Amino acid sequence: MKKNEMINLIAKIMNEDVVSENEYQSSFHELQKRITENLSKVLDEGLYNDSSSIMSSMKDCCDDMEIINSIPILAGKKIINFFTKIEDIQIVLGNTIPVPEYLQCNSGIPVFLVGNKSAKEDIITAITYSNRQLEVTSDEYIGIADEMKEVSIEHRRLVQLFIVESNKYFENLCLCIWQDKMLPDHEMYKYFIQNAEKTFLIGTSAAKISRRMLALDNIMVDIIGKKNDLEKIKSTLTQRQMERIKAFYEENSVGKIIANYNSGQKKNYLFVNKIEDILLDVMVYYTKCINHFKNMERMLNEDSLHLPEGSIKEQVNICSTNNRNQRKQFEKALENYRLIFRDIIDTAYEYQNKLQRNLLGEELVTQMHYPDLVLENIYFKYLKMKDFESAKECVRCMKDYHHKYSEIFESFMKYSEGKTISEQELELIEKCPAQESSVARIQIELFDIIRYSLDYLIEIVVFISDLKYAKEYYIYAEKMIKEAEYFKAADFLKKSLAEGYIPAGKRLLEISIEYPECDVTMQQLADMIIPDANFYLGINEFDTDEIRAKVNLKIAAAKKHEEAIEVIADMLFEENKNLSLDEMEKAENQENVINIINLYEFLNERHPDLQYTEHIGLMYCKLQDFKRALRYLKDVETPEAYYQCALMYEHGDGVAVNKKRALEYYRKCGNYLDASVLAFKISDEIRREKQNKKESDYYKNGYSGEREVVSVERSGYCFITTAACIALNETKDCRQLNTLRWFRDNYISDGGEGDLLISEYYRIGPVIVSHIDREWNPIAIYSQLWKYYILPSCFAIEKRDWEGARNVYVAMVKQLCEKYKISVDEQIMKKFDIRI
Amino acid sequence: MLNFDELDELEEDDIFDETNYSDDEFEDNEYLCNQEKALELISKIIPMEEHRNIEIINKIKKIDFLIDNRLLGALKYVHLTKEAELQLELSSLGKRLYEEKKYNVIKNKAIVGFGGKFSAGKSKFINSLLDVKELLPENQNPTTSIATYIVQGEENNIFAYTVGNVEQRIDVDAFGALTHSFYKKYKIGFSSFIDCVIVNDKNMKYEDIVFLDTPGYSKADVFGGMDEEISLSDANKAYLQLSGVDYLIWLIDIENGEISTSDIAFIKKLNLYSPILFVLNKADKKTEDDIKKIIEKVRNTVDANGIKMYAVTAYSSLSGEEWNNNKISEFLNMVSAQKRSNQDLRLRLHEIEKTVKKEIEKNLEEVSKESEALYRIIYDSNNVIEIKSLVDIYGEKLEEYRRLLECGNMHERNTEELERALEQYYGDGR
Repeated sequence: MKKNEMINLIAKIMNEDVVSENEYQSSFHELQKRITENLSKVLDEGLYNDSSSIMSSMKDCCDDMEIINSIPILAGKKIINFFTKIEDIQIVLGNTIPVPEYLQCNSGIPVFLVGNKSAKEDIITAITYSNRQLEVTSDEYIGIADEMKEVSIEHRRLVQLFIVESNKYFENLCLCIWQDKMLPDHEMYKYFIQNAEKTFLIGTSAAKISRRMLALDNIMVDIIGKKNDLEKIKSTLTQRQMERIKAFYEENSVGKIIANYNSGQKKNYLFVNKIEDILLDVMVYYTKCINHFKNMERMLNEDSLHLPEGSIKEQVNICSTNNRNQRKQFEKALENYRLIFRDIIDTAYEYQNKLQRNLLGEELVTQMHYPDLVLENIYFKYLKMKDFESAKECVRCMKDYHHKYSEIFESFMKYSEGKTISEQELELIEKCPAQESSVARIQIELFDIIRYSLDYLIEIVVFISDLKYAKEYYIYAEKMIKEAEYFKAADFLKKSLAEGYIPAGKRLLEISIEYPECDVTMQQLADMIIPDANFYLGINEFDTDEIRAKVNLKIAAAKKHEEAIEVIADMLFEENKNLSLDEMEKAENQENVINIINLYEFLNERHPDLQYTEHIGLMYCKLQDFKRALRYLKDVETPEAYYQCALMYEHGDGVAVNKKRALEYYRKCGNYLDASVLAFKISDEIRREKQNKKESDYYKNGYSGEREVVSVERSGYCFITTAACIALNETKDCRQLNTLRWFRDNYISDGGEGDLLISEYYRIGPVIVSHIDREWNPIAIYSQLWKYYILPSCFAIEKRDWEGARNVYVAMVKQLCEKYKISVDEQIMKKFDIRI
Repeated sequence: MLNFDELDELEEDDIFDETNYSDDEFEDNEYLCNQEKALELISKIIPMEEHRNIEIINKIKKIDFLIDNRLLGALKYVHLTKEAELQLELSSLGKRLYEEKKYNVIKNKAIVGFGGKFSAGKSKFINSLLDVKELLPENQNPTTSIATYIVQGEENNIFAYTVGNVEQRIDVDAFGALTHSFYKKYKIGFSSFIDCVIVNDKNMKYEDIVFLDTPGYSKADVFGGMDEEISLSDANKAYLQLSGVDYLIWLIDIENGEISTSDIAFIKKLNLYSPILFVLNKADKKTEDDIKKIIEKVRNTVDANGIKMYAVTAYSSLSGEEWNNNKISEFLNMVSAQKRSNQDLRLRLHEIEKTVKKEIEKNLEEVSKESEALYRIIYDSNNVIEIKSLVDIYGEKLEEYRRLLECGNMHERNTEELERALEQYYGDGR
């Protein structure tokens, strides 16, 4: 080629004269503009946390589309790559695909052989560095491919590739011939490798093959060679290289394989699917968050409703407000995003339409989508969002294109909508071969309903092209466990748990205990709120870090871990059972007691247990709700329960007075506390009632007297009486208090033993009262004291039986000291025979 | 579509016009007369790459990948402010590695960009400012035009920096041929192969400043009747170059009588931090009174649009005089005093890394506070059945904390890896 011809050829390639864009290109640029400007803005104003991925996926998607824009003849063609010397290609392709001689003088520029029925002669097109299509003659081809390097101009930078169209080539295929001398940073290379049906390496030696494989990163390849060469290659390649090889083919068998590809369906080149698939991630995320906030709101409201007034309830309400605000923000973000989503999809659709009209010369597009794997992904995303209308749209498209599994997709959609699916439908799904990613996905989603064996699930989970849903992670983890890859298994279980699949947490705990090599600590599990782990830590950390232990127990309990609830309930029971009468006046303490009752009720409902029943009954006593207390305690066969029942029957607390029943219960108590004394007293009372004794009349009428002002000063001798008086103040008149006080000052105080007695009362009085106050049923106890000791003592004083009065009173103190194990001055103990 | 405002501008004498040239024009340019020379020059710009080091390409590819995919891609669970915008910037940052040689020359200097419509007379203005005739070719076709930097040099010389990061010294004729005459004669354009031209000039007074002459951002007024989309790609070219400048001098043809809405839109999009100097060029074409009025008008419009403005002044490239004022040299002196350049890839990366790190730390702190508060509440509450929602929120916070921590660690690792890769790349001296 002469110098001036060369310059003219270069001028042809480097012509930067402005060419106006065609319709679809400008539509494409409009789309790009909206993506880089509007989409990025809306994303940045929104709340999605992985905007960068969306942007870079969209960019990759547009880059790919740019290739179809510059080489529209490739639209719909399946790609088959060959890595070879161009001279060798004819041998592989055989005589059916003639490769013109002149194509062979080419150092490094890829050549694509594309079928075109309407091409009368071969058409050669150079795709220039600026993605322009330039038709060239065979001489010019040689000039570029071979001669340009003689003037030291980098031809491979000027022309990216050549397209050779011929009516002799396969109509549906693009055979891409890549050479060893191609530029290492060829811009389009990635697209053709990633979108190929097959990538062949042609080689005569293992050395060549491994060199070519090295250049191909991690792509799976097929090897073509002569029979003898192949044997040698197989024996020389390393294990890792062999793993990347799908199959070996002898030279003469390749033609058939290629012809097979030609006969199938055209390749989809439309890209609304891809864009929608990428953009939907944001929508799925927003919807997921909004639903989550809604659920949380419901839970928070429910909790708030049940919580007593106080700081915790306040906190729940604050959380609820925050939660609501967050939901609103997400709803707003979704709303904004939906607009840009629609806008971009519409623009993409418009571009797609124009491209198709341009390529096929007619208005063909009736469907926005194309039924490929991407559409199936879209379908699943819509289901996750519960946007069933859009999912239906996907299924409709699949049906229109006679998608093999459209029925299964329809059934699964029904299932996701919450509708029942028929036996036949289930059967259809069950029997479907799961080699297809989406079928495997549906079968795994339905594994609770269709009872597949775990082995089967493990077998099919590998067919899912990209694991992303909870149950898939779970099954994959099981696969890893089976393969003793515990660390990975733990990782997948964590993912499954994060997606909300609760059984994954339990499984994680199991394997973390069984296989320490999976390197998951109990604390990590507890942080993931796996109740068993929280419980375990709660129990085991109690001695080292009580606060943490309690928090863990409470977390487990909040997640309805029954043992944790029991531990907490028992703990609270112990803490609150001694609340005094005064303390029980406080609302806070009443609520605590109610809470304990609720906890035991919760447990009792699930696993009825008499201990729970007893604790509930006793707590009702604390609340002085004796009707309920009796209902719980009457069937509990413990001394404490009997004792309390006896008290209630004796005093008519929550039930009509029934002394016989009371006696029965006291007798059942055996030696419990002062039960035997009380049994004696009550049987005595019953006996006397029968005899209609006077004392009893006095006792009966004793309350009816006029009320006098009572000094509430609790002091010395009358301390217990005062307490009883205050406790019974609602119903009792306390004039007896003055009687007893008078008695103390005039008859007990004697400057000797009497004063010792008084001073000892001073000391133990408050102790006794505090014990009584902390009883389950203090008022009943006071009533007893009143009835059995205070009144009789006053009665004796009125009868001037000083000795009798003193004895009754001393008997009371003696009994109480014994009951509550309070030690008294030895001299007095001895004198009155007090035994502790 | 051509609009009538722009029709007027077509009459400007300094607008490139295809029909204007004749072969005579190329007589004294050896590259255009001699085909052998022409091929040599082309081969200088597009040299054979047989010895091109694949290792370096792979290193750049790796860094590009780290910057483009890893840096933010790893932060799946962190909501960053302006994440999408950052990603777009990162995508373009990696490309700078391929132009490293250029950045070495302009490093540590403040870049003053000259922007404006194609017809605003930018090159002529710079020539006049430097007091040199025809240093910069004044009739560049905007689609083929190449960004030209003018720096102070001990000698006058010109280097072309190719896209393949090759530095080629060229003479004035070659400069003219590459930027201008080759296109006129053969329609050959080099903008895809030459990243920029750096002119070292003794006349350049400012040691700490680089001037950047950019293509006009709109050429619809030149090639009247072209699709809007084409001028969009020019706008993009100008935008990419100008968005990297530290300071901007914006030129307006005084004959327009006002700053156009497209100018305003373009400047706003640049989103510069530093105040802009507006120069009404070709002041010799107006009377004193008119100039005064137009300056006032432009000032008001710029103000009304909330654009940071240094000053509005008028200038005549013909006489080389500023009208009534000394704003231009004041502006340049101010820039000189505050030299700073954001052109350094590594600096910018560090900045981004730091911002991201800070944001993660801030998030971590917040989440940790929230979870601690919930921890207290759970401890305080005995109504364990009624705090399931709080426990769930607490669990979420812990999960969030864990993810943030993970992302933070990943970010740390990625930053380190990137730093290593850059170190290795720079260490090799390219």
